[in-house]
Amino acid sequence: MKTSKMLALAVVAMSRNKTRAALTTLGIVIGIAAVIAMTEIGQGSASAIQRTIESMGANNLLVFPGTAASGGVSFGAGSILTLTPDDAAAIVRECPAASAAAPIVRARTQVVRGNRNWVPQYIYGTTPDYLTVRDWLPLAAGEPFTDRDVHSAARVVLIGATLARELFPGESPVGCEIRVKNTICRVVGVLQQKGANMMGMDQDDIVLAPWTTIKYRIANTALASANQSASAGGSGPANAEPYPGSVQLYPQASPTQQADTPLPVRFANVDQITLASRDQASTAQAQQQVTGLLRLRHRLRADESDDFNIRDMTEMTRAVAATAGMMTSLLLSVALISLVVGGVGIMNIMLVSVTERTREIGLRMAVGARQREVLQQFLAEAVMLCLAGGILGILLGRGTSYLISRLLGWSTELSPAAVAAAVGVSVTVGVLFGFYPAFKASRLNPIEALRYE
Amino acid sequence: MAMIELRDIHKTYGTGEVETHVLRGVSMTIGSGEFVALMGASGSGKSTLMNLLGCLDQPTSGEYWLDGEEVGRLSSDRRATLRSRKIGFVFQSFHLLPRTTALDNVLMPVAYAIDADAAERRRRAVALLERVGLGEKMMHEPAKLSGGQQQRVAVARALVNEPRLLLADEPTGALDSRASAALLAMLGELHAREHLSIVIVTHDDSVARHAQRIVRLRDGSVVEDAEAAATAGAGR
Repeated sequence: MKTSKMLALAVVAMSRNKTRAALTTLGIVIGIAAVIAMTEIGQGSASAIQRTIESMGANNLLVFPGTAASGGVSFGAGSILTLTPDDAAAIVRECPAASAAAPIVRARTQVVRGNRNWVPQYIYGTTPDYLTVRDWLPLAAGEPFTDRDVHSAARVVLIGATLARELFPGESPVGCEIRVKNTICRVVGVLQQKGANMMGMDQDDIVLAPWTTIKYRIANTALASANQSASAGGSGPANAEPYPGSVQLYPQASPTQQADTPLPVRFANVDQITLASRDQASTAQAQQQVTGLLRLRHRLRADESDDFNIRDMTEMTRAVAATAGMMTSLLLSVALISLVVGGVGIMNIMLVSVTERTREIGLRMAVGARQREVLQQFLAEAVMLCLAGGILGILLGRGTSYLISRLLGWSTELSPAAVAAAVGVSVTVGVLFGFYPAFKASRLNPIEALRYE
Repeated sequence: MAMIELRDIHKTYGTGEVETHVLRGVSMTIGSGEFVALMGASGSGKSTLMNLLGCLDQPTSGEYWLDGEEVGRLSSDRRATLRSRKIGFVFQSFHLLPRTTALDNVLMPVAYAIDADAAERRRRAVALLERVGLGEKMMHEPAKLSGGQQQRVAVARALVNEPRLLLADEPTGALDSRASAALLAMLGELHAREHLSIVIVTHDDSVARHAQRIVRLRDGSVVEDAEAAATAGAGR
């Protein structure tokens, strides 16, 4: 028998008992709808959770200067000075997988305000991009400092919540002045509370300032380290224009002159570059691109090892992956259970249908239906019931997740994979659970089936 | 030419100690275009013989030649094909599909007929329904037809695939006397017009009287095989 004829037969058989067909399908409709809605809501919440974990810094990469070694003695990470603020700018410019990067200059000193003082855990000189990298916007109060502040080494700071509590109990710090070492700085903003990091360090115990301010005014480590022995030649900070608007009093060397008389340029190093990859998945890609870029910028030959280290947040990355994996398997198990229940419903009704139509089966066999054709007919009915249920279920599930996202404000994500899977699964359920009743029907003895009351 | 030839057919149900010997060596020949009534008390084996004739069952031993073909040992699929091509069934309880129009009921066997021209069969179904007097009620569902009309739909269904042999199992069992008479008259007319072999199972002498020949069974053996007029006495 032709497939089209068989499908038509199945449709006719189902339309003879519309209520029962509808009720049978309901099991699959609800099953598939649950799967679709759960998947969409689940994926929405999974990516919300992932975003939250990413905001903890899971997509951050930390670039540290490399290791110096002398006479076989290595001095550990960060013992040579190779990173510059320009490296950070170049990373954002040239690495598509990196969304933001900020240089960091560290200091450790006392902060004083009136009769109170405190030694913050972190004093970071950086650029405003740091707030983007660490996902620390918006501020709790005030405004972040600007790129112009970085250029002009402005005496402005952002302080963390712990510092605000210690130095400014019961008042707003914004606009007040604090003394950092011997420099008076104005507090322009207060950071939002972040709590302890994964190592248990208080992330709110922090002062952020333009890196130029920290380096040249506060830490005053303007001179490069002793390793840069030829630093005597240059003068002034190396970033192109530390004081915008300043007048050049002396004639500058032309590029040709500079090439002819190479003077070791004074080198503005930073202690660390922190960058954020576009998302969790592109971290490895970002690491690759940054490595390539920095090797190029640092003019390393192929046989030289990197003069920097890149660290990622493996522990957090693993947490993200584990969360995503757990959500997926949770959803899968829910989906399976509801589909199995729906499938058992189909099998149940198909068995009832076979029993009820025993005489019809006997008759069909008497007029020449072969066993295979009876089997195909009942299987086609089961599959069509499931397929119809699947399609209705997809619509219902989409509607439900739309309603939920509109009414409850939960985030949902459309999942074409779930839709495709739902159709596939509903057909599979139809075949699996329709086979036994269909097989039973095809093995009926026509004589007994005809006499069945 | 013989339509049906049975040679020493035995049929035994059950195995071992509780064997039931239903047919004990039945041999007979039914010619092409004959109208035979199969009679016997209940338990005489006439239903079993009917099932064997209709290729719904297989004999335990013996040979069954249908239209020049030995069919006693065919596989179930081959027998299904044979039923579709050569045999039409009419049952006591009509066995029409519920909630299906008379025309669709008649067309039902066409789905299982190999290489049947659907349009041609549809015309034939319409013609058959008209011939059995249901031209007006083609789109009626069985529930809206009387018993006699339902049985006539069943007859049309049995004939839609142009069988050589029509088997009717107590076709008048569920009908009143007027409807029975009408149906039997119609069968007689079909027999005359279509050159169809008809075997009708009944326990009713007045039904058997419409046949040309009456075969009586008792305890699984043929006890009488005679022209209808001779046995019934007060015949046609």
